[in-house]
Amino acid sequence: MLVPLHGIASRHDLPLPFSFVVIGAVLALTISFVILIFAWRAPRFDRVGGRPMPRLTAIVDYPVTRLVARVVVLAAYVWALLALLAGQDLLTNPAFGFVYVWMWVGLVPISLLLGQFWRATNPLRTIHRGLCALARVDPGQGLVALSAKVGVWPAAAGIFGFAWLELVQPDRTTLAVLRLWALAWLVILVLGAIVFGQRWIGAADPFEAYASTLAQMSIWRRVGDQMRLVNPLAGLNAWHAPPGATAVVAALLGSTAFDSFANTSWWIGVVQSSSVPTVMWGTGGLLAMIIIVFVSFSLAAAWMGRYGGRPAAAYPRLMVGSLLPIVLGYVVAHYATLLIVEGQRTAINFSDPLGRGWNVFGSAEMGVNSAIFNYPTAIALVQLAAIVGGHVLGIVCAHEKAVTLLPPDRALRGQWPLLLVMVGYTCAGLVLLFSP
Amino acid sequence: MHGLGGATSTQQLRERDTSMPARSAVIGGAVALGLLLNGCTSNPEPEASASPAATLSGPSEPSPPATSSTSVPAQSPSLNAEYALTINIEIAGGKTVPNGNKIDVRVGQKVILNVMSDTADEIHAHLGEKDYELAVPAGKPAKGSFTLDSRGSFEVESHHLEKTIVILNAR
Repeated sequence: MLVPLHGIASRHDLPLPFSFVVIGAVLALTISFVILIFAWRAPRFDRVGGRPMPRLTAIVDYPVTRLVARVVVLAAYVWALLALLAGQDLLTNPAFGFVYVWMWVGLVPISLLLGQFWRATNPLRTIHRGLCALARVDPGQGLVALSAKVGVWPAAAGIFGFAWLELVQPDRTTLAVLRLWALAWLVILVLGAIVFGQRWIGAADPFEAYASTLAQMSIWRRVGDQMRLVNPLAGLNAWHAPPGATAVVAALLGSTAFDSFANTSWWIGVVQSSSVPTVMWGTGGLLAMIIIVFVSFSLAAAWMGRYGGRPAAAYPRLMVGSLLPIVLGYVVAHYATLLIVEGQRTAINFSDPLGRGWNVFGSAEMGVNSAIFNYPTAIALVQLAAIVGGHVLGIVCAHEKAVTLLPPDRALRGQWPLLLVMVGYTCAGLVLLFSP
Repeated sequence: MHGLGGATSTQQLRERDTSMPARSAVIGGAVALGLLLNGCTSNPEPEASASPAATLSGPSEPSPPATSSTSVPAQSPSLNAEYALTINIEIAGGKTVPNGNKIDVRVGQKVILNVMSDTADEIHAHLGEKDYELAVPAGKPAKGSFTLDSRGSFEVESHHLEKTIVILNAR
């Protein structure tokens, strides 16, 4: 198989039909204002509520369960590492799909369905724990205390780094490049954890930060010591976003948008006929997208400071949860078929990490079922539903937060800029899927 | 012209399809179809194509109608699976024409590549489960073809320049 210039997939979704773009934009705008005009005026999700799950909690917290889950996940990573270090430098090497599809896209359904599973089984944490056990030290203990203000800022930089690797890095589907990045990831995270204690991993691992953030929308949520089955919106509303969460979310939304933007014929034409190197265009474009999201959201949320009792700078972090459904909508619309089709290919190649004709997991003989591409209208409908649905849930969450944070009579005036910004993200997302 | 959007390139393609081979009897049906597709071109005479579309000016082919030096047998309205879609590709000075444009094709439609390059190159078409490769010698026209047998958006690239030439949207 020939290596495609962009990413690992050889086939992409057809553009969203223009009529879908118009329908989606009209729906998003209409529903937004309907919600704003007719919606509730007092908080509805002031408590997480949900159903306590004592038995599930006991199973999840049982040391053997945790150990088994950690070992199984670690084993999968070791297997991928084997492919990365000793496999063939071909697209059939499962290391590429493992990183770009299973890890980066797969963590989305994992986090929605299984809550904080990623954090609980993060191989970096397992490795660090192992090292600490050997050295007979407490994994929570580091050499230097990490300031609480750091939050997840390092992870935001890490997400930018991964997005750069995925979208800009030349030869991103060659082993030499991927090995370097994997090495950097491993060294920065594990050394950092030794210096700052294991809190560093939560602060700096782009994968865990992404997974933990999306897990705020999971149906599973730990309240106190107990797991609960909750309404995802109520759970999301209860999220206390750490410092830097706005940057994490902006990096996720901005990089997904850039992925689409870089596929418009306008961008391709401009970049390819320019004498400035492609890498510069890519870096600039990716950064610009992330900064646009970060600044527009922060300004719109800060507007609430005029009507509430907190300083304006406090609002972006309080409101950032309401962007998560929009992020999810974008990600589903952009990467669902990639996960389904390339995810299968990775599973097939996973049986033969070294390219020697092995069939360890019995998957090597399976073919990739790409029949999903035969239903472009269904794909387009799912994309539309994801973008518009994410938008509507985002508006609902923002409104809920606004009535929690602002006096009831001023909540509407405080949230309209944010509503406009969200409509902007949604329309931009639709236009990018139309991919002119 | 080069940086224009995909819609424009498709438009150019269709315009040319309808206007260029007007003299050829074989093309009569195609012109009618082209008219249907265009909906606006009332006069399929050569003057409509007075400005040769950038995407289509390319190495000339031994073509029966041979109206002008740059004419190419683009036999068809591009959206009909019965006819082949011809894409003329010019690679010179590190640049490609077309330059990342998007073109609509039908599943089952034959896509013909006419390539003229100043350096040896390889054209890659990523077609989902199977890919297509065309070796292009320096300074000599190369021709190849493939058929898209499934839907999706596919990239045709210059391997040596690492540039996207066209993106085929197969429906």
